[in-house]
Amino acid sequence: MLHHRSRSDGFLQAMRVLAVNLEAHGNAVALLAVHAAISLGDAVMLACTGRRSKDQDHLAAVDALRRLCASRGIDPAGLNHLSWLVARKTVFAYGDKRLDLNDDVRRAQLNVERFATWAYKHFKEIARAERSHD
Amino acid sequence: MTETQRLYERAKEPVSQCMIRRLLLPSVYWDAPWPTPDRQVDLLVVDRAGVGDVHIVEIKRRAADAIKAIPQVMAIPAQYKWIAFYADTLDRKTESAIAKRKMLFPDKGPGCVGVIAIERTTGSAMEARILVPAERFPGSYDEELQLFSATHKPDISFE
Repeated sequence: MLHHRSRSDGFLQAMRVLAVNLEAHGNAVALLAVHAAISLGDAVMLACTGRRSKDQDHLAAVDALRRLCASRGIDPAGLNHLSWLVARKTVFAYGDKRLDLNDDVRRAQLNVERFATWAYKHFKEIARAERSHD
Repeated sequence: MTETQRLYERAKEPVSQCMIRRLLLPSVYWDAPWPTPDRQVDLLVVDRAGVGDVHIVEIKRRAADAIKAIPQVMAIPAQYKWIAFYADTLDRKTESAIAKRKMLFPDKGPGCVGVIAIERTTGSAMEARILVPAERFPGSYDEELQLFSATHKPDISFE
């Protein structure tokens, strides 16, 4: 679990560094947001069930998280942010269209921040394991 | 409000931004009654959406006053403890004491008090930067945090 959370942390931190210049790094910021969210979702699954989805279709991971929420009586609203990001992974990575700074990039940042906030609040075990930034 | 008080109040924002850059989606409380209602810390910053590690920051106008406050800061329950002051008040003696770091460590056990300097940048803007990174002190504050967050709203959060 720590490996996946740490990977998510790294993607998030890198996203924030690059976000200083969105004009230049918008694509990277959006894609890092997607990967940060996917890794954090994996960390949640591993912390709570000991397994994570290995399906290449990341929407399957969202479904697994939804089932986890149902089994724990957790409001799954935060998963909408993950779904939004996962649904755009291919477009952000390989799409032919130039990303819009507001509709795509800033929304990706917002969605990953909201998803992470929701995940930490509802799955405190991922926030409390081996805490360090140094 | 005196100029010193004004500078003290204005320091909260740049120091908060400095912590936000360092941590992951933290919840930031200003003038927080922590750990009990009868005591107050200038900044209480809780990592990972308010459920992770507890950081406290003691802000002083002058560097020498921040150094003097270290024993009190050490006594505040938190995993990470910081002092912050205006960089333009840093004299040679205080700078040397910080460089030696001895007073930043507790007498026993792990941990190191972190040091943040607040600098005035262009115009009247301010920026805080870390001179010495804090190191983890022992302890777990999950129950205290649960009680605290049930009754207090953060001044800055990512929800």
